[in-house]
Amino acid sequence: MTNLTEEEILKKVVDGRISYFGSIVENYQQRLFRYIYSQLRNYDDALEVTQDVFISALEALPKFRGEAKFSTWLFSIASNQCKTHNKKKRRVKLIPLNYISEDGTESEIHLEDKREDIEHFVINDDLLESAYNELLQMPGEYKDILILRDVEEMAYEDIVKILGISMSNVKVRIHRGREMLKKRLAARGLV
Amino acid sequence: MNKKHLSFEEISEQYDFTRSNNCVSNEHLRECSDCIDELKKLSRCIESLGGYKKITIIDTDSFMRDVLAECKKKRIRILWANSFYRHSIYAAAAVIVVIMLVPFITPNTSEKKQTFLAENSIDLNETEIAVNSENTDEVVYFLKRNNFRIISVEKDRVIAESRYRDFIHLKNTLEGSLDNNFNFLNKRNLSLAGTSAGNNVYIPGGDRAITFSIIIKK
Repeated sequence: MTNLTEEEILKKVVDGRISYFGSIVENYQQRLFRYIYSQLRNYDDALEVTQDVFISALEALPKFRGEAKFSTWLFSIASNQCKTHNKKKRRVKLIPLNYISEDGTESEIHLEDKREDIEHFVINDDLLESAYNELLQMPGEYKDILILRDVEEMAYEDIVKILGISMSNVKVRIHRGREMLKKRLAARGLV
Repeated sequence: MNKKHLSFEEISEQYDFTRSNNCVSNEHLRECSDCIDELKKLSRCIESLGGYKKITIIDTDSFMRDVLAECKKKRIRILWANSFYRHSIYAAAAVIVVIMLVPFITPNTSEKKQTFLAENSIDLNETEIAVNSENTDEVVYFLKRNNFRIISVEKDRVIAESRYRDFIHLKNTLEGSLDNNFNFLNKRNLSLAGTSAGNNVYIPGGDRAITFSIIIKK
Protein backbone atom coordinates (compact mmCIF):
# COMPACT_ATOMS: atom_id res chain seq x y z
CA MET A 1 0.00 0.00 0.00
CA THR A 2 2.86 2.36 0.83
CA ASN A 3 4.34 2.01 -2.67
CA LEU A 4 1.24 3.42 -4.25
CA THR A 5 0.99 7.07 -5.19
CA GLU A 6 -1.73 9.16 -3.64
CA GLU A 7 -3.56 9.15 -6.96
CA GLU A 8 -3.51 5.34 -7.10
CA ILE A 9 -4.71 5.08 -3.53
CA LEU A 10 -7.59 7.44 -4.23
CA LYS A 11 -8.57 5.41 -7.29
CA LYS A 12 -8.70 2.25 -5.20
CA VAL A 13 -10.84 4.01 -2.60
CA VAL A 14 -13.23 5.20 -5.31
CA ASP A 15 -13.42 1.59 -6.52
CA GLY A 16 -14.72 0.66 -3.09
CA ARG A 17 -11.59 -0.46 -1.26
CA ILE A 18 -12.18 1.61 1.83
CA SER A 19 -9.22 0.18 3.75
CA TYR A 20 -6.94 2.18 1.45
CA PHE A 21 -8.52 5.32 2.83
CA GLY A 22 -6.62 4.59 6.04
CA SER A 23 -3.39 5.83 4.54
CA ILE A 24 -5.10 9.04 3.43
CA VAL A 25 -6.38 9.55 6.97
CA GLU A 26 -2.94 8.80 8.35
CA ASN A 27 -1.25 11.30 6.04
CA TYR A 28 -3.61 14.18 6.63
CA GLN A 29 -5.16 13.74 10.07
CA GLN A 30 -2.69 15.89 12.02
CA ARG A 31 -2.50 18.69 9.47
CA LEU A 32 -6.24 18.88 9.15
CA PHE A 33 -6.75 18.65 12.87
CA ARG A 34 -4.32 21.52 13.48
CA TYR A 35 -6.08 23.70 10.95
CA ILE A 36 -9.52 22.85 12.29
CA TYR A 37 -8.41 23.25 15.89
CA SER A 38 -7.16 26.76 15.13
CA GLN A 39 -10.65 27.61 13.92
CA LEU A 40 -12.66 25.96 16.65
CA ARG A 41 -10.38 26.15 19.69
CA ASN A 42 -11.93 23.04 21.16
CA TYR A 43 -10.31 19.64 21.10
CA ASP A 44 -13.51 17.57 20.91
CA ASP A 45 -15.13 19.79 18.33
CA ALA A 46 -11.96 19.79 16.23
CA LEU A 47 -11.74 16.02 16.46
CA GLU A 48 -15.36 15.61 15.42
CA VAL A 49 -15.07 18.04 12.53
CA THR A 50 -11.83 16.41 11.36
CA GLN A 51 -13.65 13.10 11.25
CA ASP A 52 -16.54 14.70 9.38
CA VAL A 53 -14.11 16.15 6.85
CA PHE A 54 -12.69 12.71 6.06
CA ILE A 55 -16.16 11.21 5.73
CA SER A 56 -17.33 14.06 3.52
CA ALA A 57 -14.20 13.67 1.42
CA LEU A 58 -14.83 9.96 1.03
CA GLU A 59 -18.40 10.58 -0.05
CA ALA A 60 -17.39 13.28 -2.51
CA LEU A 61 -14.30 11.46 -3.77
CA PRO A 62 -15.92 10.16 -6.99
CA LYS A 63 -16.49 13.81 -7.92
CA PHE A 64 -12.85 14.78 -7.26
CA ARG A 65 -11.41 15.37 -10.72
CA GLY A 66 -7.87 16.17 -9.72
CA GLU A 67 -8.06 19.73 -10.99
CA ALA A 68 -6.59 20.89 -7.68
CA LYS A 69 -4.22 19.02 -5.38
CA PHE A 70 -5.97 16.52 -3.15
CA SER A 71 -4.62 18.32 -0.07
CA THR A 72 -6.06 21.60 -1.32
CA TRP A 73 -9.40 19.96 -1.93
CA LEU A 74 -9.33 18.39 1.54
CA PHE A 75 -8.49 21.67 3.25
CA SER A 76 -11.24 23.47 1.35
CA ILE A 77 -13.71 20.91 2.72
CA ALA A 78 -12.26 21.54 6.17
CA SER A 79 -12.59 25.29 5.74
CA ASN A 80 -16.27 24.93 4.80
CA GLN A 81 -16.96 22.48 7.62
CA CYS A 82 -15.42 24.88 10.15
CA LYS A 83 -17.61 27.71 8.90
CA THR A 84 -20.69 25.49 9.11
CA HIS A 85 -19.74 24.29 12.58
CA ASN A 86 -19.19 27.82 13.84
CA LYS A 87 -22.52 28.95 12.42
CA LYS A 88 -24.30 26.05 14.12
CA LYS A 89 -22.53 26.78 17.36
CA ARG A 90 -23.57 30.41 17.24
CA ARG A 91 -27.18 29.31 16.90
CA VAL A 92 -27.02 26.99 19.90
CA LYS A 93 -27.21 28.93 23.15
CA LEU A 94 -25.22 27.13 25.81
CA ILE A 95 -26.73 27.16 29.26
CA PRO A 96 -24.30 26.63 32.11
CA LEU A 97 -24.87 23.69 34.41
CA ASN A 98 -25.80 25.05 37.79
CA TYR A 99 -26.59 23.51 41.07
CA ILE A 100 -28.24 24.90 44.14
CA SER A 101 -26.56 24.08 47.40
CA GLU A 102 -28.33 23.40 50.67
CA ASP A 103 -27.98 27.00 51.77
CA GLY A 104 -29.79 28.11 48.57
CA THR A 105 -26.83 29.55 46.67
CA GLU A 106 -26.54 28.75 43.02
CA SER A 107 -23.16 27.77 41.58
CA GLU A 108 -21.95 26.76 38.17
CA ILE A 109 -20.75 23.19 37.83
CA HIS A 110 -17.32 23.17 36.25
CA LEU A 111 -16.46 19.99 34.42
CA GLU A 112 -12.77 19.55 34.06
CA ASP A 113 -11.64 18.77 30.52
CA LYS A 114 -8.05 17.65 30.55
CA ARG A 115 -7.90 17.79 26.79
CA GLU A 116 -8.24 21.57 26.94
CA ASP A 117 -4.72 21.53 28.34
CA ILE A 118 -3.35 20.21 25.10
CA GLU A 119 -1.93 23.64 24.28
CA HIS A 120 0.07 23.78 27.49
CA PHE A 121 1.51 20.34 27.75
CA VAL A 122 2.97 20.33 24.28
CA ILE A 123 4.64 23.72 24.30
CA ASN A 124 7.35 24.65 26.73
CA ASP A 125 9.27 27.33 24.88
CA ASP A 126 8.13 30.88 25.79
CA LEU A 127 8.26 32.24 22.27
CA LEU A 128 6.54 29.20 20.82
CA GLU A 129 3.81 29.32 23.41
CA SER A 130 3.36 33.07 23.01
CA ALA A 131 3.32 32.86 19.25
CA TYR A 132 0.85 30.06 19.47
CA ASN A 133 -1.42 31.95 21.88
CA GLU A 134 -1.22 35.13 19.86
CA LEU A 135 -2.01 33.24 16.69
CA LEU A 136 -5.11 31.70 18.19
CA GLN A 137 -6.31 35.06 19.47
CA MET A 138 -5.97 36.75 16.12
CA PRO A 139 -9.06 37.47 14.00
CA GLY A 140 -10.16 34.40 12.04
CA GLU A 141 -9.39 35.88 8.62
CA TYR A 142 -5.71 36.21 9.56
CA LYS A 143 -5.44 33.18 11.78
CA ASP A 144 -6.52 30.58 9.22
CA ILE A 145 -4.43 32.07 6.47
CA LEU A 146 -1.27 32.11 8.64
CA ILE A 147 -1.90 28.49 9.59
CA LEU A 148 -2.15 27.55 5.92
CA ARG A 149 0.81 29.60 4.78
CA ASP A 150 3.26 29.68 7.66
CA VAL A 151 2.44 26.49 9.53
CA GLU A 152 1.33 24.16 6.74
CA GLU A 153 3.59 25.96 4.24
CA MET A 154 1.02 25.91 1.46
CA ALA A 155 1.47 27.78 -1.80
CA TYR A 156 -0.45 31.00 -2.36
CA GLU A 157 -2.33 29.39 -5.25
CA ASP A 158 -3.54 26.56 -3.03
CA ILE A 159 -4.70 28.99 -0.36
CA VAL A 160 -6.68 30.86 -3.00
CA LYS A 161 -8.51 27.62 -3.83
CA ILE A 162 -9.05 26.57 -0.23
CA LEU A 163 -10.45 29.86 0.99
CA GLY A 164 -12.13 30.80 -2.28
CA ILE A 165 -10.74 34.33 -2.27
CA SER A 166 -8.63 36.25 -4.75
CA MET A 167 -4.85 36.08 -4.91
CA SER A 168 -4.51 39.75 -4.01
CA ASN A 169 -6.77 39.22 -1.02
CA VAL A 170 -4.66 36.25 0.09
CA LYS A 171 -1.47 38.30 -0.15
CA VAL A 172 -2.94 41.24 1.74
CA ARG A 173 -4.23 38.98 4.51
CA ILE A 174 -0.91 37.17 4.84
CA HIS A 175 1.08 40.40 5.07
CA ARG A 176 -1.34 41.97 7.52
CA GLY A 177 -1.53 38.80 9.60
CA ARG A 178 2.23 38.60 9.84
CA GLU A 179 2.47 42.25 10.73
CA MET A 180 -0.16 41.81 13.43
CA LEU A 181 1.62 38.78 14.85
CA LYS A 182 4.97 40.56 14.85
CA LYS A 183 3.52 43.58 16.63
CA ARG A 184 1.86 41.41 19.26
CA LEU A 185 5.03 39.49 19.95
CA ALA A 186 7.08 42.70 19.94
CA ALA A 187 4.66 44.20 22.47
CA ARG A 188 5.50 41.29 24.75
CA GLY A 189 9.20 41.84 24.16
CA LEU A 190 9.64 38.51 22.46
CA VAL A 191 11.06 39.76 19.17
CA MET B 1 21.98 52.63 -1.60
CA ASN B 2 18.29 53.55 -1.70
CA LYS B 3 17.72 55.17 1.71
CA LYS B 4 13.99 54.46 1.78
CA HIS B 5 13.35 51.41 3.94
CA LEU B 6 11.20 48.58 2.72
CA SER B 7 7.55 48.48 3.71
CA PHE B 8 6.31 45.56 5.79
CA GLU B 9 4.60 44.08 2.70
CA GLU B 10 7.91 44.12 0.85
CA ILE B 11 9.70 42.50 3.77
CA SER B 12 6.95 39.90 3.99
CA GLU B 13 7.31 39.18 0.27
CA GLN B 14 11.07 38.95 0.75
CA TYR B 15 10.51 36.43 3.52
CA ASP B 16 8.52 34.22 1.12
CA PHE B 17 11.16 34.65 -1.56
CA THR B 18 14.00 33.88 0.83
CA ARG B 19 12.21 30.84 2.17
CA SER B 20 11.78 29.30 -1.26
CA ASN B 21 15.00 30.51 -2.90
CA ASN B 22 17.33 30.80 0.06
CA CYS B 23 18.52 34.24 -0.99
CA VAL B 24 17.27 37.83 -1.12
CA SER B 25 16.20 39.47 -4.34
CA ASN B 26 16.00 43.06 -3.19
CA GLU B 27 19.12 45.23 -3.68
CA HIS B 28 18.23 47.46 -0.75
CA LEU B 29 17.91 44.51 1.55
CA ARG B 30 21.47 43.43 0.80
CA GLU B 31 22.84 46.68 2.12
CA CYS B 32 20.33 47.97 4.71
CA SER B 33 20.95 46.50 8.14
CA ASP B 34 17.65 47.91 9.49
CA CYS B 35 15.60 46.12 6.86
CA ILE B 36 17.65 42.95 7.29
CA ASP B 37 16.91 43.19 11.00
CA GLU B 38 13.17 43.53 10.27
CA LEU B 39 13.34 40.51 8.01
CA LYS B 40 15.09 38.50 10.73
CA LYS B 41 12.43 39.49 13.26
CA LEU B 42 9.67 38.44 10.94
CA SER B 43 11.48 35.17 10.25
CA ARG B 44 11.67 34.51 13.96
CA CYS B 45 7.96 35.24 14.43
CA ILE B 46 6.95 32.93 11.64
CA GLU B 47 9.35 30.20 12.66
CA SER B 48 7.89 30.36 16.13
CA LEU B 49 4.57 29.35 14.59
CA GLY B 50 6.23 26.03 13.84
CA GLY B 51 5.47 25.20 17.46
CA TYR B 52 1.89 24.96 16.41
CA LYS B 53 2.78 21.74 14.64
CA LYS B 54 3.01 20.17 18.07
CA ILE B 55 -0.75 20.41 18.31
CA THR B 56 -1.85 16.92 17.44
CA ILE B 57 -4.58 14.41 17.83
CA ILE B 58 -3.69 12.65 21.04
CA ASP B 59 -4.87 9.16 20.17
CA THR B 60 -4.34 8.81 16.45
CA ASP B 61 -4.99 5.05 16.43
CA SER B 62 -8.37 5.48 18.00
CA PHE B 63 -9.17 8.38 15.70
CA MET B 64 -8.23 6.38 12.62
CA ARG B 65 -10.31 3.43 13.81
CA ASP B 66 -13.33 5.67 14.34
CA VAL B 67 -12.96 7.33 10.96
CA LEU B 68 -12.58 4.05 9.09
CA ALA B 69 -15.47 2.46 10.98
CA GLU B 70 -17.65 5.39 10.04
CA CYS B 71 -16.38 5.24 6.47
CA LYS B 72 -17.21 1.55 6.20
CA LYS B 73 -20.75 2.29 7.30
CA LYS B 74 -21.02 4.71 4.44
CA ARG B 75 -19.36 2.31 2.02
CA ILE B 76 -22.47 0.39 1.03
CA ARG B 77 -24.31 3.59 0.29
CA ILE B 78 -21.44 4.88 -1.83
CA LEU B 79 -21.06 1.63 -3.72
CA TRP B 80 -24.77 1.47 -4.26
CA ALA B 81 -24.79 5.04 -5.52
CA ASN B 82 -21.84 4.35 -7.82
CA SER B 83 -23.41 1.16 -9.05
CA PHE B 84 -26.73 2.89 -9.64
CA TYR B 85 -24.91 5.70 -11.45
CA ARG B 86 -22.99 3.30 -13.67
CA HIS B 87 -25.98 1.10 -14.37
CA SER B 88 -28.07 4.12 -15.20
CA ILE B 89 -25.49 5.11 -17.79
CA TYR B 90 -25.40 1.59 -19.25
CA ALA B 91 -29.20 1.43 -19.32
CA ALA B 92 -29.44 4.82 -21.01
CA ALA B 93 -26.82 3.76 -23.56
CA ALA B 94 -28.68 0.51 -24.23
CA VAL B 95 -31.96 2.37 -24.74
CA ILE B 96 -30.29 4.75 -27.18
CA VAL B 97 -28.76 1.84 -29.11
CA VAL B 98 -32.10 0.03 -29.27
CA ILE B 99 -33.87 3.17 -30.46
CA MET B 100 -31.25 3.65 -33.15
CA LEU B 101 -31.44 0.01 -34.24
CA VAL B 102 -35.21 -0.27 -34.32
CA PRO B 103 -35.49 0.71 -38.02
CA PHE B 104 -32.95 -1.99 -38.89
CA ILE B 105 -34.19 -4.80 -36.70
CA THR B 106 -37.95 -4.45 -37.16
CA PRO B 107 -38.90 -7.51 -39.22
CA ASN B 108 -40.31 -7.07 -42.74
CA THR B 109 -40.11 -3.32 -42.55
CA SER B 110 -38.81 -3.08 -46.11
CA GLU B 111 -41.29 -5.63 -47.32
CA LYS B 112 -44.12 -3.64 -45.76
CA LYS B 113 -42.91 -0.61 -47.61
CA GLN B 114 -42.86 -2.50 -50.91
CA THR B 115 -46.25 -3.98 -50.15
CA PHE B 116 -47.53 -0.51 -49.60
CA LEU B 117 -46.18 0.57 -52.98
CA ALA B 118 -47.54 -2.53 -54.62
CA GLU B 119 -50.92 -2.02 -52.98
CA ASN B 120 -50.95 1.48 -54.34
CA SER B 121 -50.30 0.19 -57.79
CA ILE B 122 -52.84 -2.60 -57.75
CA ASP B 123 -55.49 -0.51 -59.42
CA LEU B 124 -53.16 0.36 -62.24
CA ASN B 125 -51.74 -2.96 -63.24
CA GLU B 126 -53.64 -5.65 -61.46
CA THR B 127 -54.33 -8.69 -63.51
CA GLU B 128 -56.94 -11.08 -62.32
CA ILE B 129 -56.25 -14.73 -62.86
CA ALA B 130 -58.71 -17.39 -61.89
CA VAL B 131 -57.33 -20.67 -60.65
CA ASN B 132 -59.01 -23.82 -59.59
CA SER B 133 -57.66 -25.08 -56.32
CA GLU B 134 -58.98 -26.56 -53.13
CA ASN B 135 -56.26 -25.05 -51.00
CA THR B 136 -55.39 -21.35 -50.78
CA ASP B 137 -52.19 -22.16 -48.90
CA GLU B 138 -51.10 -24.31 -51.80
CA VAL B 139 -51.48 -21.36 -54.17
CA VAL B 140 -49.49 -19.16 -51.77
CA TYR B 141 -46.79 -21.81 -51.52
CA PHE B 142 -46.61 -22.13 -55.28
CA LEU B 143 -46.26 -18.36 -55.72
CA LYS B 144 -43.56 -18.09 -53.07
CA ARG B 145 -41.64 -20.99 -54.57
CA ASN B 146 -41.64 -19.20 -57.89
CA ASN B 147 -40.30 -16.01 -56.38
CA PHE B 148 -43.52 -14.08 -56.36
CA ARG B 149 -43.99 -11.85 -53.39
CA ILE B 150 -47.26 -12.27 -51.55
CA ILE B 151 -48.99 -9.01 -50.83
CA SER B 152 -52.17 -10.25 -49.25
CA VAL B 153 -54.01 -13.49 -48.76
CA GLU B 154 -57.74 -13.72 -48.42
CA LYS B 155 -59.99 -16.74 -48.39
CA ASP B 156 -60.45 -16.89 -52.15
CA ARG B 157 -58.07 -14.26 -53.42
CA VAL B 158 -54.32 -13.91 -53.35
CA ILE B 159 -52.63 -10.70 -54.42
CA ALA B 160 -49.00 -11.15 -55.39
CA GLU B 161 -46.26 -9.32 -57.16
CA SER B 162 -43.74 -10.47 -59.72
CA ARG B 163 -40.22 -9.63 -58.68
CA TYR B 164 -38.89 -9.75 -62.20
CA ARG B 165 -40.98 -7.03 -63.76
CA ASP B 166 -41.26 -9.37 -66.66
CA PHE B 167 -44.68 -10.29 -67.85
CA ILE B 168 -43.41 -13.24 -69.86
CA HIS B 169 -41.87 -14.74 -66.75
CA LEU B 170 -45.14 -14.30 -64.97
CA LYS B 171 -47.09 -15.79 -67.84
CA ASN B 172 -44.77 -18.75 -68.34
CA THR B 173 -44.59 -19.53 -64.69
CA LEU B 174 -48.31 -19.48 -64.19
CA GLU B 175 -49.01 -21.37 -67.41
CA GLY B 176 -46.35 -23.93 -66.51
CA SER B 177 -48.23 -24.71 -63.39
CA LEU B 178 -51.03 -26.14 -65.47
CA ASP B 179 -49.09 -29.34 -65.66
CA ASN B 180 -48.70 -29.33 -61.93
CA ASN B 181 -51.22 -28.57 -59.32
CA PHE B 182 -53.40 -25.80 -60.62
CA ASN B 183 -55.89 -25.55 -63.30
CA PHE B 184 -55.99 -21.99 -64.56
CA LEU B 185 -59.52 -21.37 -65.52
CA ASN B 186 -58.95 -18.19 -67.44
CA LYS B 187 -55.76 -18.89 -69.26
CA ARG B 188 -57.05 -16.68 -71.99
CA ASN B 189 -57.28 -13.74 -69.62
CA LEU B 190 -53.71 -14.30 -68.66
CA SER B 191 -52.70 -14.10 -72.31
CA LEU B 192 -54.66 -10.94 -72.73
CA ALA B 193 -53.25 -9.30 -69.66
CA GLY B 194 -50.01 -8.51 -71.40
CA THR B 195 -49.35 -7.87 -75.06
CA SER B 196 -46.23 -9.44 -76.43
CA ALA B 197 -44.62 -8.05 -79.57
CA GLY B 198 -41.39 -9.87 -80.19
CA ASN B 199 -38.95 -8.94 -77.45
CA ASN B 200 -40.94 -5.93 -76.44
CA VAL B 201 -43.10 -6.76 -73.53
CA TYR B 202 -45.85 -4.55 -72.41
CA ILE B 203 -45.88 -4.31 -68.69
CA PRO B 204 -49.05 -3.01 -67.15
CA GLY B 205 -48.31 -0.10 -64.85
CA GLY B 206 -45.21 0.91 -66.78
CA ASP B 207 -41.94 0.27 -65.01
CA ARG B 208 -43.47 -1.00 -61.81
CA ALA B 209 -43.49 -4.53 -60.61
CA ILE B 210 -46.40 -6.52 -61.90
CA THR B 211 -49.09 -7.11 -59.36
CA PHE B 212 -51.78 -9.60 -59.97
CA SER B 213 -54.50 -11.28 -58.07
CA ILE B 214 -55.44 -14.90 -58.29
CA ILE B 215 -59.08 -15.68 -57.78
CA ILE B 216 -59.33 -19.13 -56.33
CA LYS B 217 -62.30 -21.12 -57.44
CA LYS B 218 -62.96 -23.99 -55.14
